[in-house]
Amino acid sequence: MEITRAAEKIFAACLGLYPSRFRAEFGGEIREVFSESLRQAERRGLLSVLAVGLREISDLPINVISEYWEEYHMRNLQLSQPFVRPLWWGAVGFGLSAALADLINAVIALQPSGLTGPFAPDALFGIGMGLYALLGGLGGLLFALVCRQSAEAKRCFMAGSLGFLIGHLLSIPVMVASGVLLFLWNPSNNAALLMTIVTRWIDLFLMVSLTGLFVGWLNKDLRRALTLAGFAALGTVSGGLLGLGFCGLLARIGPSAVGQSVITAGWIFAVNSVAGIIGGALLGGAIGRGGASRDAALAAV
Amino acid sequence: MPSIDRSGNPPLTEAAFYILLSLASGPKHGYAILKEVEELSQGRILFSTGTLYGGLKRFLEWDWIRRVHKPEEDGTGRPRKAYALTEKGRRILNAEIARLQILVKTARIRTARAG
Repeated sequence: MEITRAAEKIFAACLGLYPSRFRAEFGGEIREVFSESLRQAERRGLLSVLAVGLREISDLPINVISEYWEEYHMRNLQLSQPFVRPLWWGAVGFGLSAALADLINAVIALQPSGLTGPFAPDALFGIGMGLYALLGGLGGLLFALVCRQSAEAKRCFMAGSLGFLIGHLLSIPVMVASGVLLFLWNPSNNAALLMTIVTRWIDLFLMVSLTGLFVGWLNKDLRRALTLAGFAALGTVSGGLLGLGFCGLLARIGPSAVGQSVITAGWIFAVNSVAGIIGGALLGGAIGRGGASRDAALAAV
Repeated sequence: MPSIDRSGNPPLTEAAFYILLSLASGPKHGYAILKEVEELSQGRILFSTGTLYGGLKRFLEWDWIRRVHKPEEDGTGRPRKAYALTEKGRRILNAEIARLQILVKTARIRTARAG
């Protein structure tokens, strides 16, 4: 019957009004039941078919609104309850990974080959990249285990690695360009110090933002992903600015090359730790719990 | 239009009560629930598919019902998704039946006295 086929098509289009999660779970079944209702109604005549169609149409607005309302409440519930623990533990995982990565980076920076010239640290960049990816992955894994989502462990590991790795990859052109500019401006170790600090700051900014984005992505929530990325980035900018101010001051004083390298390594570590702490606190704050925010900051220390 | 109780506790709405009652005799798929409710309510309650599945979704969330795969197949040869009462769902239904029995008993006693 033509009218039945038309009704099925209209109904399929109307199903698109429901929230995507509801559609994904029940859309197929709803269509089957509707088609079966229509087939049964066909036997009783056109009026029955119209009655089935009218019943669906008249109930549609309130059902759609009701499902969106449920989705909205469910989202708020997820933001305020089960995500609290995982989120700030995720922040701790990130903070620990970043601190470990920086400790290794600081040790690498103390090698004699890395003492002079703005491009010297780049020689070890590849090793640093690998370590970051591994530590990022371990951070992701920690996140998965602490959240008791061992089924997602592999995905979390990959997300963590990718977050760190992409952050670093994006920072390469910035690092090279700022190094060249600073070297042209003042070809001294002070410029190298400033370059390292500036690029490390940008580097970390990207890294933390992307990690926040991936944490959100793991939870399949774009809005949360963007919120986390924003808050994490804000935390890193604050920490970076603070560290940059101190290091800029140090660069002006200008100690000897060896002493300066030690200071560089130490300050890179300190800057990133501060960024981690503030980032952790803001990650906690992002979920709207003051207590969690304080705990995240303390844990990141 | 029938509405579904959101509180998760008795007293149940008539619609919620009939959905649970339709599953008391065993697992059923969506269309069978629709027809059973119509029959049990003597044609008074006619669900639209959206209302029925909105209710089923909440009952699944509250752990009143669970999904089962019926051996019966649909037109495409796939096993049909069906729903069955959980222990909790059965307890809720029994509690509601007991509550209604007390209501009816009280009403009978009162009307008998008045008569």
